[in-house]
Amino acid sequence: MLEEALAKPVLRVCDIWVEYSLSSGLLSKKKKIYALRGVSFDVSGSEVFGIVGASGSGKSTLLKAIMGFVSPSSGSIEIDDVDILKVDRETRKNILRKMGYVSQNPLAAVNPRFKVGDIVAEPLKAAGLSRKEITKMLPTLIESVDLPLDVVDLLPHELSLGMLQRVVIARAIATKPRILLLDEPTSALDTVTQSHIVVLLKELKDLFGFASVLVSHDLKVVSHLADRLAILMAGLVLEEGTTYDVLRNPLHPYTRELVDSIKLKEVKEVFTIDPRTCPFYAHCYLRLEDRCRRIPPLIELGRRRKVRCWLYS
Amino acid sequence: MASYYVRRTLLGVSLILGLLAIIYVLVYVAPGNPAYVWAGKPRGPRAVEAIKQAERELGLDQPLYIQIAQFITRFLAGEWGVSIAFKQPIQVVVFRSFKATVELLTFSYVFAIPLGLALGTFMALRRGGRVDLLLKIASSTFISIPRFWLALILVLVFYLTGLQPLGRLDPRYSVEIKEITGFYLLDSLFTPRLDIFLDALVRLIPPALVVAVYPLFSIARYVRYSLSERFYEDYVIEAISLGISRRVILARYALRGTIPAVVQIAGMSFVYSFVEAAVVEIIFMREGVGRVLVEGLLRSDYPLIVAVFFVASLTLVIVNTATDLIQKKLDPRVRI
Amino acid sequence: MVLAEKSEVSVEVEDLSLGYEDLDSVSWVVRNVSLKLMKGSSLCVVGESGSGKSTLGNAIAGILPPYVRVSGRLVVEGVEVIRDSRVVGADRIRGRVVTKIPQNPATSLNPYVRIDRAFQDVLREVRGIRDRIALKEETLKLISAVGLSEDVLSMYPHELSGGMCQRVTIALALAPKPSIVVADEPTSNLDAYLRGYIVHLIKDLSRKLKMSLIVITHDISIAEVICEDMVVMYLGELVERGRVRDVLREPLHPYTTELIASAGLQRVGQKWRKYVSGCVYYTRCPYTSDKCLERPPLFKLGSEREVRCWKRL
Repeated sequence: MLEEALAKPVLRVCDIWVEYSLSSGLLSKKKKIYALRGVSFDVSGSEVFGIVGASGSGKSTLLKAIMGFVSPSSGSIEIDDVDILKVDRETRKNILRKMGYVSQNPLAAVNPRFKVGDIVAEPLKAAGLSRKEITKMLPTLIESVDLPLDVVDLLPHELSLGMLQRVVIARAIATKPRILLLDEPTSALDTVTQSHIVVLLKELKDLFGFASVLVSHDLKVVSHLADRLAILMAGLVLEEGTTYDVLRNPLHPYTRELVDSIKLKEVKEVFTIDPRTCPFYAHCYLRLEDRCRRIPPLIELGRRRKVRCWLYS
Repeated sequence: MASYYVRRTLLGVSLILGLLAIIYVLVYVAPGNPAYVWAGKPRGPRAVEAIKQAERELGLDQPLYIQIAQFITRFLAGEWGVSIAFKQPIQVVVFRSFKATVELLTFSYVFAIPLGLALGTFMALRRGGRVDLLLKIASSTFISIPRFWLALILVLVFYLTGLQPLGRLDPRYSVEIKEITGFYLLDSLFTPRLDIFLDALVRLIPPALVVAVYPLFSIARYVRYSLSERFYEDYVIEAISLGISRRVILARYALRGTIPAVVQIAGMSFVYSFVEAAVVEIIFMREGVGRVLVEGLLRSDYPLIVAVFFVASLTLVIVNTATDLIQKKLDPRVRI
Repeated sequence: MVLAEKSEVSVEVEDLSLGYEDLDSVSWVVRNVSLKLMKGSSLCVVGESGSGKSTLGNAIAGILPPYVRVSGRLVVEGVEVIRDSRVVGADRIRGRVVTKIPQNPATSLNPYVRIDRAFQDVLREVRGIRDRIALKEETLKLISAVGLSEDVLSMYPHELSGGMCQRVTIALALAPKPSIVVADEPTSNLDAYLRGYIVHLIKDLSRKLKMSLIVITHDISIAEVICEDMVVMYLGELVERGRVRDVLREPLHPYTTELIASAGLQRVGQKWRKYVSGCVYYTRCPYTSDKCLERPPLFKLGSEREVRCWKRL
């Protein structure tokens, strides 16, 4: 019973396609660029789902689509079994209230003229809580992100970047969201602060039990936090599986390079991506000349393990 | 790339057509009844019939869109009519004065842009110092001084030095000069008559100074501000660390970054200067679009006003389009 | 004998302090740092943001801003750069004997000129090469040294990926044929995937061209790959110095321990304690005693190891 409840997805992303059109001329045809090409995954219970990809892989677009800033051309995004792409604006707004969002640059995410207390209280006010209730909740929230209580009267520029990121996290979890969306939460920070934030996010997840989607270019960070992860490149999922499986036994050649990169091994940059071939084609050391020119399907290998590579067909 | 220029030009053309339509509505339809004027302001029993007749002649009984279409086709075919105020074909009046204005504006911008750049760079290099402060105060003062007052002072100063600043050319010369391009500075050089050239130059300098005040100081202020910031730009610091000389860094790295915006500012202030030129031309008693417009307005010379509006708008559209194209050329990051 | 030893020294820092002028006070960001770098060796300066490591690196690269305050002595390749509280020789070393690899490759290239123009500027100005063919040849040599093809020369910086930009800036830093290269956080603005590639590239090039290398980073795992010696800085003070493998095997300062843990995204360290005076790390140190209210001196342990902690007494 319990297991079933836990396994029930909170967020289900199904075959999402996002395209941008580039108009190059008055009469010439519009060029379409696909940011996401049929991405599917689901996140259940208090699971952390990680998405790893280089810049330009479409990982930020994915989060934007979940938050409704980008509308996919096809596919569905279900939150608690409600497709947010098909409901009216009012319902959608209410569903979005169930989400918290933490961005890469905390300095850009807060109003520089607001005191820390007001920043954290913002979503609570929007949820219609009274001033009294908010003042009662505030200390617990500040403490839950390991900040001293006297920061509430400070302005953002008086805090370090790491402390400010904690403020942003406190704001994101203020309304007890069902899903926390983390967009490169540690990329702008140095390693010491990075480790603090990673440890904090782990603690918070255990404490509040929200599901979260973590997007990052750093497999190291993702592997410390995520239960399951997907590797994204040029809008395609190349591999998906539990973090343990992927790290121990990376299947896709790109994933192998990513795992190597954690140990600072020498890997080559992937910068020529042909949208018609397998995205890793130009750099793959295992490629089969003619077969790998086509985009391979996402092959399922056992429960919760998928890979997009002709080697496994 | 090429399609961008085509698109930009098409946009310019459609802007001009739209402008003509708006001008027509504003001038012919909005104020009073032109048919009444056309019919000779008739009175008595046959007045109504006469006005009806006039309306038919002017095409005012047609639906508005047809009126506009007729107006535009006639206008583009060159049927601009005769000016009431100057008793001459409108093309002649407008183009002569237009050339005078363009001569004035071009002359002042040719000096204002490089001078503004130099002044701004000078200030940026000495920012925070006394010279910088002094120049900052001076630039604010000059920008805020009413231009007609400045013009009057210049007239006074030039008279005291014994030079003749009024008009476009000495009346003696205006008979002698051979009009080739209509720009007196060029014509006198082509002829070649150095005495005419000097006379035209002396009369051009004071009004050009007044017109130049705005672009010069607004460019200087922008360059000072933008350049001071650019000294801390990553790529400038990187160039310093590579040991590239100060001169090259200033020119090719720091100053280079301000140029696209300077072009934009110059383009926008050109619009402003067009209006300013009207005041200046009247004070210095020069020919010019502004002066023609004022006289036309005073004598209800509708066809002339329409033509002036059209030529002015056309210039602005061309200047704006040119600025955008130059912008594209100068900054590789501008997407098309 | 003494003379021979002296000529071996590439960078000599003696009791160097660097600070910035505030309204009426000076905030010192580097305090009483002394170190020596031998010719052809490599040194890593590790510390989190605010440790003064970048300012130290800029001083060695000869790019101090005009409002900087200095004291102590800095000698780079026999040229006295800082002496008696004055910057005296910065313009004689920058671009001549020392160059810098910047932190943010994408913004460190002149956006208005093509890549080949950037190379020509440096080669003409610094190396005095005027001949067109020689310029082209030298540019090609540099660009292929970092593994880029000729095509990038005709491109603008915004058309390049982050990793390609960083390779161009590395090639540019090599153009003046420096004997020292300062790399300021060369990987922090790149995808994690590329870290290893760039780090190895810098290492291999500095070995091949027999340059001294100074790497400034917050990530201690990079030090392990690229350098022989390292210094750890915290709030402007040098807290530990030694061979990289010694320091990593047996960190002596508690802050170094924290840095090593953070590279594995583990968290050590305490919550913030109020700073009074004495040891700079007092606010976060897990092992404090009353003694720590007094500033510890730099204890020497052998010729290669130094640590600023009372625990070593």
